[in-house]
Amino acid sequence: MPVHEQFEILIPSDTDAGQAVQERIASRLESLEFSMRDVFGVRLALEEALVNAIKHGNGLDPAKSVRVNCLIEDDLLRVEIEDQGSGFLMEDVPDPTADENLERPCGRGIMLMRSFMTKVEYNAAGNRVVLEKQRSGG
Amino acid sequence: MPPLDASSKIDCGSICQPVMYGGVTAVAAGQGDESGTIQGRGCTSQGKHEMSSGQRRLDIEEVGGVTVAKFVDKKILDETNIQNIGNQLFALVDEDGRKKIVLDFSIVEYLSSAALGKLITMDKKVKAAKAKLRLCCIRPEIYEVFEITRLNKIFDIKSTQEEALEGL
Repeated sequence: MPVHEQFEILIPSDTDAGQAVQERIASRLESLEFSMRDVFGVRLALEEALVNAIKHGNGLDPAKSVRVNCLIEDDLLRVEIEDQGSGFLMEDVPDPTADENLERPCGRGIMLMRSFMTKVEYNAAGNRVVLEKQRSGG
Repeated sequence: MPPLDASSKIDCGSICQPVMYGGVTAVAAGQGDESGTIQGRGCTSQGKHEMSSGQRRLDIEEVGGVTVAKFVDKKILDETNIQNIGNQLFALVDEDGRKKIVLDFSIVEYLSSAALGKLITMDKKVKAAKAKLRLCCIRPEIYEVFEITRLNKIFDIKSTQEEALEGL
């Protein structure tokens, strides 16, 4: 499977840096003619994952960085994002679609990632996530 | 409620630069505050731009006694923008005391969960003030975000601005 792009970078705990990575990946997918919906979902999922890592993981601490590893093949995007925070437990994240949580203004990021990506996998510590997107058919 | 404008295009913008490079780029560490707290996923009360006053992120007009607030950003992702948008939305209720508000999303192509959070807080403020809020002109991709999160159950969403204004 030909690799169209592969890189690993460390970015500072700054959401602008996260946006730059997001733009880089999304624009590469566009140039490879991934569908508009695929790119929309990837951009949204990357935004959520990077903000989680930068803000909630690293707490915007300038002494900490976020590692982003990206691989783009013909029909697959794989992005690994790792922060230097203490992680979290998935079971501590409430279901944002439960009636009692619907009006909470937070906690929807992971759900959006899962909805728009093919695979979302956290490590046990909760400070590294792997996002995969298979190119949509059609 | 069916969303509008199924043919809408998503604009990557002109800043996209598919530059190829490999290897690891080290990032210089700053003089960080080691005591910085780690926030839980989802609920953060502080942001680095929290106190910024910011520029106007909503176009406001009055249509037949209804305040129509139109977003000016295609992407509601940036932390600063979201903070400013939140402040300007809340001011419509808290400071201006507006009772009938329509939020027009026709230009919005992306929004994050942080932006959804501001909308939910806005909805609470509107309800507390016994005011009314409707959303309109939401693109299909964005509407899907509302559906996935079930926020289409909370918000009164209309396809067009005309529909949103009707009977408000």
